[in-house]
Amino acid sequence: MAWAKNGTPDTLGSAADQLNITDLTENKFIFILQHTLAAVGNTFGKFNTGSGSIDTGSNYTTRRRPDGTGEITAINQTVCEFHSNHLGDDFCVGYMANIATEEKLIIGFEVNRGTAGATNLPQKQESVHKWSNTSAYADHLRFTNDGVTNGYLTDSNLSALGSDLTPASASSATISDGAIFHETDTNKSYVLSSNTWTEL
Amino acid sequence: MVEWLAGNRITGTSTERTSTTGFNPVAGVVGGWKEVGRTTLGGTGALDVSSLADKRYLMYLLHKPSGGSAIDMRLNSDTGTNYSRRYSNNGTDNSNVSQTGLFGGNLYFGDYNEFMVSYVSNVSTKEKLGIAHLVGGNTAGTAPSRLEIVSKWDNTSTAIDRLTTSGSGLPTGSELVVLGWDPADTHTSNFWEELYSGSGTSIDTGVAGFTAKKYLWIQIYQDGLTSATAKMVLNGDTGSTNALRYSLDGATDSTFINNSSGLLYRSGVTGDDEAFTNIFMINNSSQNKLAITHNVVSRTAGAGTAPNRQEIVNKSTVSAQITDIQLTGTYGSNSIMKIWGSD
Repeated sequence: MAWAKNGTPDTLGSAADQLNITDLTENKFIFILQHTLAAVGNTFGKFNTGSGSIDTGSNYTTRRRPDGTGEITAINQTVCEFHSNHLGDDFCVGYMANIATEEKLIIGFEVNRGTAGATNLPQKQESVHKWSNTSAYADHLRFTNDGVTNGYLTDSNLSALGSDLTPASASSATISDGAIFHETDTNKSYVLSSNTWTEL
Repeated sequence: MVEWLAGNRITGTSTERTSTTGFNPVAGVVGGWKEVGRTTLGGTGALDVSSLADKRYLMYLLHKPSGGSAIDMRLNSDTGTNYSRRYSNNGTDNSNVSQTGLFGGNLYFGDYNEFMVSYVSNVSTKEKLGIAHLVGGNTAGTAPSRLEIVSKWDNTSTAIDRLTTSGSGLPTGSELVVLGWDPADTHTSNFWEELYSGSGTSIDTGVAGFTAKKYLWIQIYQDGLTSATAKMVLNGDTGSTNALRYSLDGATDSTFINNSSGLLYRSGVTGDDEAFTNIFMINNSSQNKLAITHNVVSRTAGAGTAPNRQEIVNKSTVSAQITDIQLTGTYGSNSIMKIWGSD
């Protein structure tokens, strides 16, 4: 298994307030890359996830430390604040444990541009989050801005990698007569002969 | 998900088996982190990686095996005062504007081993934003140092195609590896190769359980560890070979030296619960192993309790390259450890 692109990256063709991935496949670990481009006004990066759809219930909790000053916690939230009320472009990296029957745990890092130019400081945040769902793996990711309207400019991007994807080298393998296929959902096994599977 | 096993065996769901007449091999996955440049010093000098492909995201690994030369990192050879940064050095925060490099000239703690992992956003028309974590080996018998930096390069006219360290005093063996990732990637190369995947209540790669690699990336989901500390035994070594520095929930750093019974990758969380750990490790033979470790601990289940977070840097004096990791303690059946690596 290998790290590889998981789901369809969302790159905005016009300004909007959301970035979405809706087709993650099941992977135990997810790597998140978020880069939002912003022109004027402050934006947020409020993170949601979900299975089948985005969960907007009060099922999230967060601990974060913006600019090294003070630890902020928030429980029973409808979002996780990956980044908060910042001016300018924002870049976040996240690691997510995504086991279906366990709470989903996330480690996040953020750098925000702040006011443009090297005479102004960037901002930073380290954060951890959990989504309390214990019934399904996450197949949706969303970042939402509720600051300035259409605060995510064209070309803003949300991408994800998954840890358990089949390497390309394996995918090119040629299946041959005598191959044994074990069905994990039915616990049945089949042997391949002349392009036909026969149950064992 | 279809999985290919040795001996012409395949596992998958009934739908996957019957989706076509016979069997349709799964589509190859694409788009992992790909190496786009590297420089390894054969003598004293500066690290310079150029002609980088234009990728939206960069990840780089920087290793200095020794040497007391303070260095900085410059992008596209820009030596102007076009960088600014905010950083935490062993838990003490500071910042600088109008710098001549990403790290304000002080990527240096002393004459010893240092290892950095960094991510950079790289859109040509936007300022380049970076997130970096560093572990400094520090002198023998002392705890390692840690540095976390966010930085920006205010250039808005070109993509990054070159990374260069300042000065010329880096020693032989220093290395800078640059990886790229882009949403449009269709390559099938992957810098990070899976070396091990294990799960259950007893996770142990076994002796020589995975291939030795210079760079290791480890992720652990631990289901209900019953102790307040989590350790991994490296190459079977349980001696007093470990030192670390950590901050729990942003508190003042704590340090340990001569720590035994394994590398401590989570500490101080009384009555532990489900936890997720991310570790990057430099794994050269005959050198201390240095690790950058981050944790989230769920604590009480549900959204009514905030998780804990922990930042750790580790140093292990185990000499040989690590090829054997055992997670100690008692934990639940949903626990998982995966190890990826590359030279």
